[in-house]
Amino acid sequence: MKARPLQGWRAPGTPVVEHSSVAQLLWLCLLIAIVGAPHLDTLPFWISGIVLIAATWRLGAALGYWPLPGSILRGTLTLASTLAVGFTWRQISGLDAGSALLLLMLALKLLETHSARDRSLVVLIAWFVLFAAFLREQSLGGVPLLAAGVLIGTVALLQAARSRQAMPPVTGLLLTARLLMHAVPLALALFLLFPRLPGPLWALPSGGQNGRTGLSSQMSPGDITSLAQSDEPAFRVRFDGAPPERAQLYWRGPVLESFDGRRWRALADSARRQKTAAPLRQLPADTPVHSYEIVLEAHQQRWLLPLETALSWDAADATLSATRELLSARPIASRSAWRGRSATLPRFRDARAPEPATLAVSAARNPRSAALAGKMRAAAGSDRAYLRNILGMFRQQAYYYTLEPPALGDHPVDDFLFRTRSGFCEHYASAFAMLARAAGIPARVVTGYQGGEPNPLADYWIVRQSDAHAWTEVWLDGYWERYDPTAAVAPERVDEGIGAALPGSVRADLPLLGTSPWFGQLAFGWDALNAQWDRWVLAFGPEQQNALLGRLGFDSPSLRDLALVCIVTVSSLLLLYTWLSLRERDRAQDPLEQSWQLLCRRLARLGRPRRPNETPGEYAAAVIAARPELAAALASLTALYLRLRYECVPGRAEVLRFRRLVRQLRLPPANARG
Amino acid sequence: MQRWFRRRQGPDGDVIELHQRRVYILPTRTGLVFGLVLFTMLLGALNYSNNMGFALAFLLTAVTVISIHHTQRNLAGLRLTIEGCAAVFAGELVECGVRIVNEGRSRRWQISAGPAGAATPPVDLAAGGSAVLQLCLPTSRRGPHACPVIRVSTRYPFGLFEAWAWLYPDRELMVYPKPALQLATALPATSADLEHAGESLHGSDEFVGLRIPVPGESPARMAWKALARGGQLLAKDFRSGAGSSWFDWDALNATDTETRLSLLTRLIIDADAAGRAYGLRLPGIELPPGNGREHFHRCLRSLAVFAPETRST
Repeated sequence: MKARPLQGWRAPGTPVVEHSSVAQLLWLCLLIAIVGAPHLDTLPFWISGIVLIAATWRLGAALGYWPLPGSILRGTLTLASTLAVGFTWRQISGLDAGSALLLLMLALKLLETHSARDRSLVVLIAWFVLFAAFLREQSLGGVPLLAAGVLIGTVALLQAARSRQAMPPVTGLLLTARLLMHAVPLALALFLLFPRLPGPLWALPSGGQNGRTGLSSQMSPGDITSLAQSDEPAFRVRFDGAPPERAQLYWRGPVLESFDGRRWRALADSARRQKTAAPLRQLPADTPVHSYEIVLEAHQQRWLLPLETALSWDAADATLSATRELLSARPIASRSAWRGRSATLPRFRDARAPEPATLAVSAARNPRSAALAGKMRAAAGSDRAYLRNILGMFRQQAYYYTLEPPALGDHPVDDFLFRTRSGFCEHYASAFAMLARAAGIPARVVTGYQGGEPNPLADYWIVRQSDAHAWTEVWLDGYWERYDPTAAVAPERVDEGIGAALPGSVRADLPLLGTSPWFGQLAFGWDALNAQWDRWVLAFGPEQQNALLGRLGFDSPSLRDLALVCIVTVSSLLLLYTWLSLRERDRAQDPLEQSWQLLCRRLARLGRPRRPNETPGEYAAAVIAARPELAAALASLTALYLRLRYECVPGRAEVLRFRRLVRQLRLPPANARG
Repeated sequence: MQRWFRRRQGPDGDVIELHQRRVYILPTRTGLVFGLVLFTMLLGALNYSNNMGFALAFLLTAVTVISIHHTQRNLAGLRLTIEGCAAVFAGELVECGVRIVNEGRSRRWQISAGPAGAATPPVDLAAGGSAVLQLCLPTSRRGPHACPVIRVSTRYPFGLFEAWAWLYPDRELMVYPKPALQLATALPATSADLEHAGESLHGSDEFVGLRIPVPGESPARMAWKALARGGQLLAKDFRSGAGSSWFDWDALNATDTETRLSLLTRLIIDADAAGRAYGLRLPGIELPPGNGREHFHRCLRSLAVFAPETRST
């Protein structure tokens, strides 16, 4: 009868129903806590609540306190949480909504983790949640987060993949740590050499940055005042040589030319983009010129905020608009650095006549101010004297500089000049520009930042949102001249910074300025570390890769060169790793086994090597059949080996004895067949 | 595919060293999903020029790549021994044990045997430790069978990749014919029938068991009690001679080959259980009466391999 094929071998009995052990679930919960932590302050609290409830529910069920939810309840919960996210954010994509949805899915998936695949899936989703956290924030604080997320996640995955019980936690950690140690060089090579792209592949998300404070293309009374409450950094700047005086540090942002009596606006974006400013020529011989590097925080706008007045810049595709705003081609969506050169000039020539809008004054608003302007201009005799007189009025009369200005009515400039007489920089700039226009002098408001704070622990300055400022530019004799009316009322604002210009009681309300000195030191230290991190790690991109390849000897490295270097490096690392681990295994071989291999090698020289499928006994028998004179010695050696190998845990002395016997075994010469 | 593996490796002896070259490795479904996750992360990091994102994606990629090596190394170098595989009757399960010996110094984790859906629960092996994984194989047809391939696999450490090895034990699995059931129900009755045997027509003969009645046989030789217990009508078989009997193919009146083999199998089992000597006469084969395990298996083996063609010779 012909042999018929049988079905395959399988495990006896019915397959065991899979379940998750408490230890495995605890690792998963720990991982979820780690990757959820960075989302805590941006996502609504109910999401953390649901995650917490799901984790408690799952652990309690594993301990046998209560059952797990059925499939109907789980389906309902999934639908409800998707709807809740859609209702909260009006979308389910985007950074915030996406992170929320991922966290909720993580919680719901946790409720149905039975098999190894379920558990592994939880780890994979958790890593994606961590990734989403990095899209939102990548400060130095992310490094411990990354380390913990990868280490704990890897342990959790190791435990999740086990079919029955988790291995002891220390064993799991050690195994994982060793594996990670091997992985780090490879990851580093990929990080440095994997080809990066200079621009985005698709549109950047607008979500996640909504709460950010910063300048905008319009200004009404109170806007900058609200900025002054925030100590968030706007950018950091490093000067190549000695920094200019603090009073010279005007960082030029949006230029506002359109005025409706209350609100200042920039001209339409398209108009600004079409017209570009001519480069400055004929600088006075003794003009101080400064080179600097600015690391901008993401502000989702296009202003690059150069020091006045920008001469050159290396930001790709940046343009200088007709109003001398330096604009990036795309909104600044991530922290980015650029280098520039500027001359700290109080005025610059502009051959182009000012826009008619720079003379516009709303007739319906602020009639008293207009009347005042007419009177003062007539009394002054010249434009310059008139402007000086306005500054003198601010300085000599009872005008106050305050962060808490009273509310203004329908005629804000009138109210400010004649009634409240106290305000912040935007009030003074607005009133000054309006008075100039009312007297027929083209004027505009420039917003940006003024000053900054040197980090005493490092060689850079921090410019914060609280340094936001508004000043004016006035067209006189073919030049735009800077007039800063705030300097007239509060000169210390410009000379020493915002902290000095405000009374002590107000200063205490500002977040960083009012705190104790040692805390300030700590904050500066942390900021300095972060700045280094930005400079060396986060700023790493295509240019740095090219520089790296340039150092390796490529003249003008292309993307192909980079890919080639990447592939070669990664493969050699892998080869090296394989070689090292093979060598390690040879060395790690058991001494008993080594002695046995030695015996086999020696016997093989007699002409009969051991076949791989032969047991020690069979091999010995085969050799004895060919060489009967070895019978006694081989039989006892083989018996000893088998006993040491399979019957007991051999002591060191016995293993050594076996080795000695193997070495002392006298073999006949290979050709003298007995 | 399986043929290609087999040709590449050749048949295996009883002791198998898992050399690196015969350990295959592929991503699991979880591994493929993870690949997708990594690819998405990489795209995201590229798009947003997010260096922390790159760091996470590359670290996880590196961990995955290194884990391939660990998965393969977890299986390679093990010494496997196939145990058991004793002959069974058709319909029973062949049982075999895969003894795994870890001769290396590092621990081995999560090793199981059997196909993906019906593998044994995985075992961990300490350095120098060993374990036996039990497998079974359902049978239906008698005869010699080639031992099917055995799969030994591991998904350590992360379940993202599975390494496996095919074992082709170079041995034959013998499946004896399925014993006739009716005789099985009658079996406990033999001692009672034996008492009646003393008064039988052939007083000097010995009762050796039950057989299919020959047409026209005396009612006195029928095993009525066995019939009453719901069985088939059988005749008590008495054979003369020194306590030995012949089981003869031609003495059975069943026409179907498999039924005859079944009945003969049952007769042999019963005789062996009773400690009696018996001989087997098949067309073209004659095994003289004998006793003991060796004889028992030789007889059953002849039945297992019996092919109708041999009748003509």
